[in-house]
Amino acid sequence: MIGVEITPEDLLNEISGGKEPVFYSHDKLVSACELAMEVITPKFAVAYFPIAFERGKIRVKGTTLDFEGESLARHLKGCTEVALFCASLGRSIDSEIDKARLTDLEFCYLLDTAALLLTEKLCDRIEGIIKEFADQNNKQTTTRYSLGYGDAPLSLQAEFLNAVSATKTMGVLVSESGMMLPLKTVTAIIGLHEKTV
Amino acid sequence: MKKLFEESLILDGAMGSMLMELTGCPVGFPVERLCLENPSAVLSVHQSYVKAGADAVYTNTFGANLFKFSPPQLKDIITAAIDCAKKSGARYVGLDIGPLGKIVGSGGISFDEAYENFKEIVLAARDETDFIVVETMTSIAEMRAAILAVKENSSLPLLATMSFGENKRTFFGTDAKSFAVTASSLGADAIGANCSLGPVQLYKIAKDLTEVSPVPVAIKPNAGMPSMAHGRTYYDVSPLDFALAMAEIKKLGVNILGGCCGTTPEHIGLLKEKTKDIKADIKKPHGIYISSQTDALKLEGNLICGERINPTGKKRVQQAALCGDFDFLVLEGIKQQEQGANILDVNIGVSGIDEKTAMLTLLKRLQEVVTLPLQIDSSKPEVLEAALRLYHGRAIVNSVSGKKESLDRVLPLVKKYGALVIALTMDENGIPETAEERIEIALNIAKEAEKYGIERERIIVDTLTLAEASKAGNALVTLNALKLAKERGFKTTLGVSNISFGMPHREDINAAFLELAVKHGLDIAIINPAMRGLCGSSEAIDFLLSKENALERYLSSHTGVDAVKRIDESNCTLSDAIVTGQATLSYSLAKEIIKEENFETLSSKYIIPALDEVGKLYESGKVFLPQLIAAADAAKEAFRAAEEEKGALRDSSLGTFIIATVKGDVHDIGKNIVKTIVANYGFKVVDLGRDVDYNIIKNAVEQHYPCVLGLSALMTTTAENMAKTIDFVREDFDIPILCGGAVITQEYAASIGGIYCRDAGDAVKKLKEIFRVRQKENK
Repeated sequence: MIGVEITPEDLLNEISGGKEPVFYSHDKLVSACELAMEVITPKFAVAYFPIAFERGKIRVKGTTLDFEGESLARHLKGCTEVALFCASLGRSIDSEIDKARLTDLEFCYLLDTAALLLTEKLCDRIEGIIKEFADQNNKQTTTRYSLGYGDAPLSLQAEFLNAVSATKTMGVLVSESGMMLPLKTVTAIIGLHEKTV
Repeated sequence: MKKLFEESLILDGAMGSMLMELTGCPVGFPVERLCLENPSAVLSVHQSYVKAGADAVYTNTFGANLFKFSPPQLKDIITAAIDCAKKSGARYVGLDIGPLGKIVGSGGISFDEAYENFKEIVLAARDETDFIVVETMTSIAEMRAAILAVKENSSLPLLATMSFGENKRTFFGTDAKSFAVTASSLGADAIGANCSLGPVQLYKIAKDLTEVSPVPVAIKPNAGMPSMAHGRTYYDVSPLDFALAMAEIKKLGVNILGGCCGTTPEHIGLLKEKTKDIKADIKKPHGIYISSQTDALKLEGNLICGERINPTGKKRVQQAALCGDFDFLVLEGIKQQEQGANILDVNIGVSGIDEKTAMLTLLKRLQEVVTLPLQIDSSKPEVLEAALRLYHGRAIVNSVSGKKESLDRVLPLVKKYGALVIALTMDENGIPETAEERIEIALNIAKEAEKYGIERERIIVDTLTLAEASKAGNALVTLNALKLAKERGFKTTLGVSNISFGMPHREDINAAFLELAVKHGLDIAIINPAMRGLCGSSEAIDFLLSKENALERYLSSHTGVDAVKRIDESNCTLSDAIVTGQATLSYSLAKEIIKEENFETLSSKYIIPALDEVGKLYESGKVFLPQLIAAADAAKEAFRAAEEEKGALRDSSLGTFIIATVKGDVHDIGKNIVKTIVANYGFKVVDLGRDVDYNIIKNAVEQHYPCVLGLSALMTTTAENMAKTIDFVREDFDIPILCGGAVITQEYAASIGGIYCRDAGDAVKKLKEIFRVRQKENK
């Protein structure tokens, strides 16, 4: 488990794009943040693999993964290694959002937004860990890139999860339509390359 | 052979990681293929475990299923894997079945598809092993599908093990006890835990399992907690530490021990040595348990079974059942759990619907959000069977009676699915008038149940509550029968509220009867949990005990006491309350207004202007989505108050709007916002839910034609399913179709023949336009 937090102010900021609504329920913002932080079980899995650019594909060595797509190739240009990661808030938050859907739709929306914010924060923390690892190895990192962006196909999601053991260690599964469960789950690729002066 | 699991057994250790080490195959490679491509490697791993002291080895078939291999490949792999395992010289060989790697349920494959897949694996192995093991499951739905596939297609003993986290739950939320109760009652011959944690962390899970399991327990931990480096997973517990920790687990009464990921022959060798002199003291659990898919419940103390999901005598529930308003029914479940119910009775038997389909939909929906064990209530055995098959816990069946037909049809189901059953003390001659005769029927039911191997502790006797107003003394017969049932070792239950039928202030009498019933030995009260904690008056108690003049005293004590609830005086108008999203205030203000006004005025004078105002505030960026939703909810509460006060539903004849989240997508917050807001504006909304199949949508359109359809999708991949839905519906119905959701754009909607809706307000505008045009056309 890894700790992540948000404040009611973060949540208000997210729902109103930085403006203050003329009226709103501060109590509900607080409750949504509290409940979200209480029920999440943030987990992540990271794995580092060397890569090779072969015939228009990016081979992730030591796995069965071959990434395709020009936009990802551009993103990883110059990289010799990738960090693959999966981050998830666990299933309980999905269930709470589902319940709130029937009991209080406003709260449901706030809880869902709080969960999205927490997922983002979790990803930021993992990115930090990967940057630290890269730094220790005298390398630099690219920004995160997820399957489904640009022309990187979502169809590789199951293999991606396998490569980082996310199904086994975190219980993340993917449906035929590419949807991951738990719903608040993100996978991403970060490239590692030599430090540039 | 069934005795196999009662021995002290040492199972093997890790297979996949050993094979990867030995053959250098990459991460993600299906190692089951090695049974065909490199059988000597597989055999050597088996042999190393046998040599180290393992009594039993698992075949290298963990991931062998039809999602990864074609049917001929699957058969060849399983045959080769059994061959490898047998050649190792192990005393016992177990056919290994792992998870399918698919979501079983919402958004994934169905329970039946999972069952069929497991069935193919079992059939391919042709019972050529000594036992079957289903392991590393995290979804109890998937585990149940596998257990049923094994029990219905093989005669071999079955070991079922799941993987738990440090919170003692699987990733899907099933805790160790509920798994033990569910799997053993469904027929697993041994149950246990494997993978995920090391032996130290698994100790507390082993303890929970041994506490409730009536069958032997197996523990197969990892060699510690995993960490990843350079694409490989590493484990940190040495063989000796592993063995010593396992010795402590054996002392709990766990007689089947082995290793999972990261363990080696050395771990297994030391495990054998350090545990050989310890006797696993297997204890039978005390008491009887039921369970939901997440939590087990011991039947002890006074328990409340929520009665509100039952259409009998409840108009709103009848209406929900008839219209398929599952949201309402599920919400009743959530509320009852919050009000302190321990169990939920689920009955959807109303004429004019397909009860089996409705029951299955309701169960699926309830299990997603309610964690209480369920009591499945139907008079139709086919409904009971379908529900028991799908329910992911151990249920109570409501009910069997002393009638021969009922005994013959219900008891086999109770046996097969390991359920508990309510025994109604009535038979072909009706309900006996004496307590003694009612108990005779209970004893007869127990005798018949015994023939099926159903123990008395699984029978919950209902001594039947009849209205006291219909005949003085009814309550006393029920109470005396309750006492007798208890003396004969039965658990007991009663539907409490029937007692007050025909009387004023029923809650008082119900509370008094509950109090008396508990004193006479009632275990499970089937009541409205909102009345929990209420006390009956002394007049009500005297009435139930048939004391002299008690009826007159009760009636006189309840005349003219109607408390008038005063609404909190405030300057706030109903419109203000709606705009500012104050649902409770909105409810009470509407309740007052509707006494003087009709629905039309309430709506046009107060509610719609308020919704329009908040809509404008939203569009001008002065309030945001949460405030818009809160206002919609407050308006909904106002309508609810009015409907309650008038005892009728408001007119929603502006037009019918069918709404659904498309197949493959389970995101539905946006859809629900649209639904609430559109309904407030007077449209009839038919909500089909999420992940909705094309056929269901087309059938709904046919049923409600003429109508407008609204589709929602949040993912790029499911946006394609929106296009498919539109094409499929348009084959037969030329209706307007509104499209919305995060990934939908104006251009995309137009390209697939839909009408783009930016948000809920936009949907209302478009619906108004469409129906206005249609009305003009009709004129």
